[in-house]
Amino acid sequence: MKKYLEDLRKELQKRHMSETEIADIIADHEEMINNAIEAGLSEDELNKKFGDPHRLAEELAGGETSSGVDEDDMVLWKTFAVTSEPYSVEIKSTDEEISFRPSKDGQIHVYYHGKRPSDKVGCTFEDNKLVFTTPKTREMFFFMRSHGDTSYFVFELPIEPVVDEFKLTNINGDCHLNGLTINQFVINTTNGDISCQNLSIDEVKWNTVNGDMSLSSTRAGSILTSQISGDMTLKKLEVKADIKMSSVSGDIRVEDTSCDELDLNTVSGDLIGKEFYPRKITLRTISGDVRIDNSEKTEIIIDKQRSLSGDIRINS
Amino acid sequence: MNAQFKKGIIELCVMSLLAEADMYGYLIISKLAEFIDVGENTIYPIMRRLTQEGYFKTYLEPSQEGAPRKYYQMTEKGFIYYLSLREEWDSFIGGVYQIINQGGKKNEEIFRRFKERIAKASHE
Repeated sequence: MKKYLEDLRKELQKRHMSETEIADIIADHEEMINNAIEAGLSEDELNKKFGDPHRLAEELAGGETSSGVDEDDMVLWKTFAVTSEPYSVEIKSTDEEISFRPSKDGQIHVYYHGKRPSDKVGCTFEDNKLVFTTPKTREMFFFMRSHGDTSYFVFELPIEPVVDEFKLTNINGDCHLNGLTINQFVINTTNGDISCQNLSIDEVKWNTVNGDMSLSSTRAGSILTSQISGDMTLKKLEVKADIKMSSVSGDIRVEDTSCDELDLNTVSGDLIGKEFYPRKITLRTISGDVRIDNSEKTEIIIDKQRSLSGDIRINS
Repeated sequence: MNAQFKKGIIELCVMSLLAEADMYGYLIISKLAEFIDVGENTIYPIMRRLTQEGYFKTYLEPSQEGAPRKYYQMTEKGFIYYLSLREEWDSFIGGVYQIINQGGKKNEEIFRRFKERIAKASHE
């Protein structure tokens, strides 16, 4: 039981969960395991009932690991050993749905779901760089492509050493990232949605046309985003330096977040904030509005550089 | 079973138990395990999420065996959510049963008819 709780704590810490949350979860489990022992469960029964701390932590850390794909159906495809040097990741995908999450044993593991990937799908680890490429989908009428054509991959990546550079280029597929530490994170998507949780990143550069972006429970040095019509959600972020965002018509939602300067450049997209505490806001907009509802009153410097009808309102 | 689908069902089961009585974590887990094959690592994250969303409140209560236990109590918001889940489930599962029982509930009957059709098709 001691070991189970210790393992669970480690798994939760790996996913950058806060200490209060971890303490709460551990206390709950201590209680439940004690109750189970009092009820007379054997060691075997206990193991069966409580299962694997890794999976539990995964689930608790946000756990949107997949779009309803059962973990048991994932097949291990490739494994690569990683040296102690920081490594890089480059993903160039088209329609695939991909999840990235921490590896348990310090190696890179790649899993797939459904049909075995064809030879045209490249996946190599050379010169400390993981490269994954998928071929462009054949020219086909849209209605001829069934939903079943989408393939699903899971990448398990070591947290130690950290990922030096992570380049993600995706056209239509959705991607989920959870619990990784990355120095430079560059994302380029056309239609796919990207969601990231529990990351620790130095620098994020995020470009999208239509896809939605969501970033939550993350510590970042600085964030730079650019979107045409996709929406963006930032939740529970600690950003050391600036957040620079540019949007044409996509809306931006920011919650429980602090940063130094928010530099916002929009045409018609609005920003709605809740418990959002930047030191300074610089706004350039045609008709986009900024509305922030905060419970604490703090001094926020406002610099409206260019605005036709856009307005900034801060309620606290 | 599809993981997302299973989670939805477990959520409904947890809500059903707590609509009737306050319960502590281990009790919820063992009650569910009596009827369906499901482990703690599936149930607990759901309970935690539902609590964070304000559907449950928690309080500590001393127990006879020793350490106090954390009880989960459904809030009014939770109850309203439970009703909507329940309605959704009833109409969904009702529809599913109508479809799968169109040919009656007896497997032998369904099998007999199917065999006849196959025989007929190969005859033609």
